[in-house]
Amino acid sequence: MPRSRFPRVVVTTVLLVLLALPAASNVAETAPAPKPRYGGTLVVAAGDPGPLNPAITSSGQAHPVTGQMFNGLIRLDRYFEPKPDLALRWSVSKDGRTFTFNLAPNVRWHDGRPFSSADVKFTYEEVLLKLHPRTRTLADVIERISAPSRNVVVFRLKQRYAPFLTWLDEDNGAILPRHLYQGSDPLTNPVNLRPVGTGPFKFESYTPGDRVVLVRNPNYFKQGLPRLDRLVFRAMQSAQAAQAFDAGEVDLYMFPSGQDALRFLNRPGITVTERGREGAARVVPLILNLKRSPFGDVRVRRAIAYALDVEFIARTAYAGVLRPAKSPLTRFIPWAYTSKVQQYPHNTARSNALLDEAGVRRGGNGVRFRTSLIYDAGFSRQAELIKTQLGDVGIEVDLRLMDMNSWVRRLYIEKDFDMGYTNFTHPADPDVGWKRIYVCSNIVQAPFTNGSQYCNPQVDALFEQAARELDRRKRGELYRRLQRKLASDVPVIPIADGIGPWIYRNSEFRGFGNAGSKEQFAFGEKVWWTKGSTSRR
Amino acid sequence: MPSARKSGGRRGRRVGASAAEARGRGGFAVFLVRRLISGVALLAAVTAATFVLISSAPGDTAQVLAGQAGADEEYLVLIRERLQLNRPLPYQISSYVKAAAQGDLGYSLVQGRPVRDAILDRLPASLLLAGTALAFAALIGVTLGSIAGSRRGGSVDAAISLASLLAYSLPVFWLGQLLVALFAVRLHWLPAGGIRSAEDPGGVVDVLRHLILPAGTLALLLVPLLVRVTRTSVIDALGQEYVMVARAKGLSERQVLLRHALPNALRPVVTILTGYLGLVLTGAVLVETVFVWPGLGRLLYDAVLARDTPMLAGLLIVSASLVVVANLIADIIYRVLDPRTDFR
Amino acid sequence: MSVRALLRSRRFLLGGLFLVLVLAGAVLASIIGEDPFRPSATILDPPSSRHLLGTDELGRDVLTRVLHGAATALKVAIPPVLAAAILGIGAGLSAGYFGSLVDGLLLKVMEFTLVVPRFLIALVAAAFFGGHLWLVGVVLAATFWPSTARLVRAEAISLREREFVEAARSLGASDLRILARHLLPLTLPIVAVNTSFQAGQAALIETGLAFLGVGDRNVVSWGAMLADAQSYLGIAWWTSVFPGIALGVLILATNLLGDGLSDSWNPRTRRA
Repeated sequence: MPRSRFPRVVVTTVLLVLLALPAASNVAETAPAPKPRYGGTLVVAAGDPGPLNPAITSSGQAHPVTGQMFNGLIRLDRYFEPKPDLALRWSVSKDGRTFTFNLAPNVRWHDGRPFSSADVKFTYEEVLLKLHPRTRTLADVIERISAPSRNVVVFRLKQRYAPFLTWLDEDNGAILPRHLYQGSDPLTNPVNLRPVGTGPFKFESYTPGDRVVLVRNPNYFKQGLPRLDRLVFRAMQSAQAAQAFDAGEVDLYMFPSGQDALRFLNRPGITVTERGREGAARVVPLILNLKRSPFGDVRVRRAIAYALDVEFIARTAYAGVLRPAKSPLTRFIPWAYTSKVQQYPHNTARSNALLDEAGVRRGGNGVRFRTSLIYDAGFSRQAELIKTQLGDVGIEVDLRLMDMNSWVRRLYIEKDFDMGYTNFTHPADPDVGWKRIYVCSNIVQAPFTNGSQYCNPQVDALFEQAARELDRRKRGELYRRLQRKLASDVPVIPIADGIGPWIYRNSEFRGFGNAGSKEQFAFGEKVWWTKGSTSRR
Repeated sequence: MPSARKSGGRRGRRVGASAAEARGRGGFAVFLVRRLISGVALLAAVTAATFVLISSAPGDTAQVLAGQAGADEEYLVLIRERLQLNRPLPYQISSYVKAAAQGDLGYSLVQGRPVRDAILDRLPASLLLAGTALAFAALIGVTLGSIAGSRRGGSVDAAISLASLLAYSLPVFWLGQLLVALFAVRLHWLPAGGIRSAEDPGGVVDVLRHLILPAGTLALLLVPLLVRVTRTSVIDALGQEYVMVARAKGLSERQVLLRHALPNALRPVVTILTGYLGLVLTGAVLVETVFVWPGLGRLLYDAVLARDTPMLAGLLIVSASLVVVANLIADIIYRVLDPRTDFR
Repeated sequence: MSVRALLRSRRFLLGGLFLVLVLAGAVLASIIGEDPFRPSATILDPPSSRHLLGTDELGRDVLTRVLHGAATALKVAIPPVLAAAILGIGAGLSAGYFGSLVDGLLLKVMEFTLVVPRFLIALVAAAFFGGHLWLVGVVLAATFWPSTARLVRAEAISLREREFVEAARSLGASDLRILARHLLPLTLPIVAVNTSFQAGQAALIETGLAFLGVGDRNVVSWGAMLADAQSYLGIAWWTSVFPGIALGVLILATNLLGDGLSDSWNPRTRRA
């Protein structure tokens, strides 16, 4: 009947029009919008950060969070060259020993109090140089810090030290508020649970094991930044993180495994990149406890190196995202790197021979000795491969999985381990990240120091020399000598060399790749949401 | 007239329920008090046993209590003093139990806060998950069981039993992953995990959306037994005299079922539900891990990985407490359902 | 307790078949001799003639790993529950028959062990002492026997006043003889049922622990396989489906066996 058909026709037409509308607007929206927009929430899948004080830890799980709340004097760009952060300008004296920094004016702490040079002086003297795992080694280099005026801070060094500036970023030189930390113990100060910094984001809440929420700092000293409104860091295991990212609930996946990277590699709307993570360049080491027999014998260590098939590990466990290591130093510091060092291509016969020679013979059941390997969840595949490969030469490995914090305690604080496996970055300059693995003075009870307890005065002397040398070519030569020596002594066994990507949804978020080599600690500043508003309300 | 005493059908009744000498209100109150006291004693025993477990773990007890953290000497001295670790074991146990009784479950160096705070933080989420799962399970289980029982021997009955059996045989962590992969990643119908949306933390609706998959998965664990027990009870009840009388009076099958058979069939269901607390706590660890739910299960898991000893001890004690409380509640519910129940 | 009744039960037969399948798998694992930890370059390969069930992310043969997982699951499922059954029978009979002190003691112990969920105990034990298979087995045996004991106790209580017991006693039979020759056989049906179900639970606990990463990392476990396979559900379903099915088959087997035994042997719980 025509009458009852009319409403149907109307309804259908209306529906069709409504359905067409989104398609029409899509056409308009796909035109590229290069201008940054404001607002939005970025959800990040990462590990649980732990205590949020950047000046007492170098943890790669804490700094992605603290880096959004704190600043250092400088920031390192993609080529590891220093660029302004809290310091606007700086100058170096002729003798290379005095560094004068002019600080940005009108910087305020999140609680409103003004920032000044006194904060810098305090943080270095009372916190960084005493407690930060890497920066504490700088204590031998710095003679005096002075703050002649509110916006000027001067560092006087004991001798020339080429890499000095590369130390001063948020990673190794985050500045804490003096008015909240003075007179307290930085390790247990309750402000650690409600941090106050100068950075683009303010702390809102932290639920351990669940999430950290940061909100925009409207009084950030860099104009127009940040662009996002909120950052939410969710702590989850990598399997769940990959699923959550795939389901669209997570926008940035910070530490994907190689397999996860492959999974998302060619998906539209998703970027898998190493840009911005150059500061995470590293050679992943198998750390041996030299104080435990038989690891003290260099022949045993070399035998282990021969027994391991790093080619295979890189190809399978790292899905080719990292390359097999050819040197103890990462190839991402090209001026110092060399691969012309002792290599240990996979060779079980050679390994067996060395072990026999070292007197570690096989027992009746074919086992030479039993040992254990501690590692955290991200390295299960590598651990299993190591177990199999060492098992082939008669070394029985007991696998012990534990979380990052426990791993750090067992290996670095208690030194109660046989072998340990984890990441160990060499950011920017060999003196900053690499040296700490090998020098005698860094055999201390602090995280990410000289865990293997290797001590060789010759090596120490070479490091010392390289630090004082200002000419980059000569420094390079010294570091090459060090690589030869350390490749021969193998206190830690280099396994894989590379950066490793991070993954984000480029259809929703842009502005990555603009914050230097440690962008994973500073992305909050410049990243923006494609669906935000065009002006700051 | 329906029999006031239910002699059979009390399988699964937990052990140790001492009989009330006299039935009736006074007798029940006495009974309840006795249960309360034995519950407390039980908890004390569990607490003591937990402490013994800790001290038997390899290593210095104070160090172990500090959770293998590089605790400084001061903290170790404090622990030794508080727990009187320099005195013989019985004294140590009693001080730990006393502290626990006052609500002090120790300090977690891993989390940097008292154990009690961390547990209280996560308790609501766990209760929400468990409660919803139990509700789902009860609803689905009783419904399916009643249908199966009233159509006994038919194809519907067989189908329900088969589905039940399959559901019970699926490992809950596997099922969870598959559901996430299907509903969250593939279809984008439901969230992949968490309790609230991170982007846009909505209110109740947001939480409900996040609750569906984890509670559903957990419920699937619980449904099969409920189906079976309900079915058996309904069959039993349908065979009783009063049902025949009702039918003779001309009531429809459905009315017979709903008004006569079911209420009596529900008692064993209540037993099961309260006995489920253990299962729920167990399943919760796995479900909360797969769905990243911020409850006690995940807290336990994190504590296990981090060897956070005080947290583990605290969680064991809290679990035991929950079970004891649930049993007490069950006793009360029984009483409410049938005041003349003989608590034997 | 007739075998014929058992054989007439479809559930029992089906459950038995499944269990035999799993057992066969476990035996095959040791016969075949291929190393389940041996990695290869063909990672995430779909099922093919070379690898019947495909390969995982380290290039390991999934079929071999599933078979070895069967061995692990059975090692944890069977010996501990058998031990628990023996302990449970002994304790339950003593408590039910002798009553008074022994009974009181047993009741207290049973209450105690029933208060903390088994999985949590296993989890915490694994945390402190390592997730070694033998340790998990011990914990399981220790937490399973009370429930068996409870059932046996109930039986013993109801049986001890029966005529044939009276008769035996009047003939001068000792308590031990009565327990062993008269009561024990009568408790076997109910213990068998309970033990079957417990075997399934034991397997679930072991795989659950392995899934969480606290199991024994030195053996192959279906739980660990399922955990690893989580990331590949979209691109390599075989790494998750086959271990999942295998575990499901084992649990199904124990449940069917238990149901079948219960149907045939236990008049009181017989499905109406």
